[in-house]
Amino acid sequence: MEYDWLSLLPHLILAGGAVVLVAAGAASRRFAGAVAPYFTVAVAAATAAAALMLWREPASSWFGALTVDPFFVIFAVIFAATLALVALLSARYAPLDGSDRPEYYALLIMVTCAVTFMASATNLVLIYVAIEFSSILSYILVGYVRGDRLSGEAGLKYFLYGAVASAVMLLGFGLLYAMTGATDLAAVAANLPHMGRSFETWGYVTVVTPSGGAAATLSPVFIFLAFGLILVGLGYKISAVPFHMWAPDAYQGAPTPVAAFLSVASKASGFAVILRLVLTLHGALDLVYGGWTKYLAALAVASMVFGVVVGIVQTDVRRLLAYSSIAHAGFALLGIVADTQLGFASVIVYLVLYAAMNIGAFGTVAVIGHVTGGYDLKDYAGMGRRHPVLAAALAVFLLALAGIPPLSGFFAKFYVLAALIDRDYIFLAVVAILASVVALFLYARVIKPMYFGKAEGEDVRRFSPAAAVALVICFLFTLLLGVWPQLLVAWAKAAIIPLLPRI
Amino acid sequence: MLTDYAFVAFFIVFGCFFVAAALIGAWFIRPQRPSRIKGDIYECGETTRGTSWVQYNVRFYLVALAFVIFDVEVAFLLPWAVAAKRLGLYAFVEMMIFVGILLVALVYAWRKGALKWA
Repeated sequence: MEYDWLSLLPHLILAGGAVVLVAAGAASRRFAGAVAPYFTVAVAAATAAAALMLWREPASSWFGALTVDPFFVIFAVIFAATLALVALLSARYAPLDGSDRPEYYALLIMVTCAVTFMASATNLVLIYVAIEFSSILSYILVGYVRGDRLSGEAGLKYFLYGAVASAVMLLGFGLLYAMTGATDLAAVAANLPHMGRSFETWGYVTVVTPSGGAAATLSPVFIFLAFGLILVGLGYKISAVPFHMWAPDAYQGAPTPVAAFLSVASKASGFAVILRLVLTLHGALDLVYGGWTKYLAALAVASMVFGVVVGIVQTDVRRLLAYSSIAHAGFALLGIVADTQLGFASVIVYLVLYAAMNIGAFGTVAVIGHVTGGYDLKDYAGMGRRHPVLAAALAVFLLALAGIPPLSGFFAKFYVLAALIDRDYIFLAVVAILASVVALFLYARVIKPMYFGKAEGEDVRRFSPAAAVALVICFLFTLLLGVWPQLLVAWAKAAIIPLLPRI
Repeated sequence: MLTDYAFVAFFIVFGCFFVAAALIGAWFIRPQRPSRIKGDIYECGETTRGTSWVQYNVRFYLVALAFVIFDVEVAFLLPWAVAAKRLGLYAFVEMMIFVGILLVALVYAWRKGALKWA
């Protein structure tokens, strides 16, 4: 059998990079600790290059378990970019002092490897293993600050929540397997009953086994149940209401660069799995009572409303950004609710644009925390005078998150709304716009004290040039993609089209 | 469609009823003669000493983790070893990569002092 090793290169580079870094850490701690951030950036660059090389290649499938296609490439590039930026932000980040540095970067590379597996997995077992892989590493990274109670508590909370969510999701996967006798998504889709196949009055569906043999009967209750249970696990991964409880605590306790990673790469990986499941199992999803989009729409609206409303009363900037990221998850979900080519593509566009501005926002918060030692709204008073550049950068990132026109956040929201209005989901569009308006107030709560507050306190540290480079990159992307998003939209569409269900 | 929901509702109600009935029924039927020995922590018939809330030495966990890793390694090695001739060079290289990664982990654990007891 011929193996297309080249298509596995992004995964292999990440896995190999992590092993090399662990080995280097065992050999010489000081050297490895000093080189680790830049080694991580190099690994991320190599991964992105290897992934981009596959863009024009035909989709290749590893025994149906892994599919490497343009869809995967876009997500792999998001993950690699996130890895590089987070590594640069962590390079001198003070709260990590006293914790093991080489291992920290090795874990970062490994969790990136895990999320790339999530984006390429097309087999229920592999999807589950990849989600667990990324979750377990995330728990460790969240609790990585040695001797910090808040970090340890956050890690434990995240772990307990994640363990329950993944167990529930596994039950959903189990039900799918029980119904179809297959774990490959393509086979699951072929074996599941579809809307329009023989559909009896009792609410039972006739299933023809792949061998064409014994026909079994199956109640749509199980399909409903299976997708519902899976949604719990994936809703947790993207931190959508009501599965969001862990997010504010984890983001607050975690080293802030890790929070940036979780809110971007982790979330995007959850969306990658949701998109793959929705696109592959589209026919069976139509059997869900009342239309599956209604349930996702409920989740999206709850996330947006809850995220911005609860976010307003937060006083810790990290918690505030956590609630904002919950609201953003809801907004991006609306693209899937639209259930059109434009809708699915808009989710990818949203995730790419959101990645740049959210890493920027979390990164600036990390740098400000590093320099002043504070993460509270009080500590941001007068930042506009103390650190005009940092304050301006944070203001730009927050305005981008709010969706102010010249910045990239506007286009992220614009395409999702366009997809909704295209389908005449006016109500959802109105709710989304109202939530965005309230979100602007949420972000203004950070911006206002920076420019209208009195400066207090002294700087404790100087910020590192590596973190500055990361912020500049995020800034450029936030600005440029806001002016010039057409190329990205074209790529997102090209990635989605081969996956669209042919009905 | 609604009949399916009725099934679900029935199962929920029946489930609650079943658990409650079993517990409450047992409460009425069973003899209640509590004694100190019955309240003890079960420790394989040994007389208990102290409470169950003791702290274990954290090294137990490190050793247990290292053990589990190599335990699982054997679980992979054994089926490969049985069929090694038929699987050929490809599987051999693959297995060496697997063992190599675990070797790195072992060296790492060693350097970190996870295998030292004193």
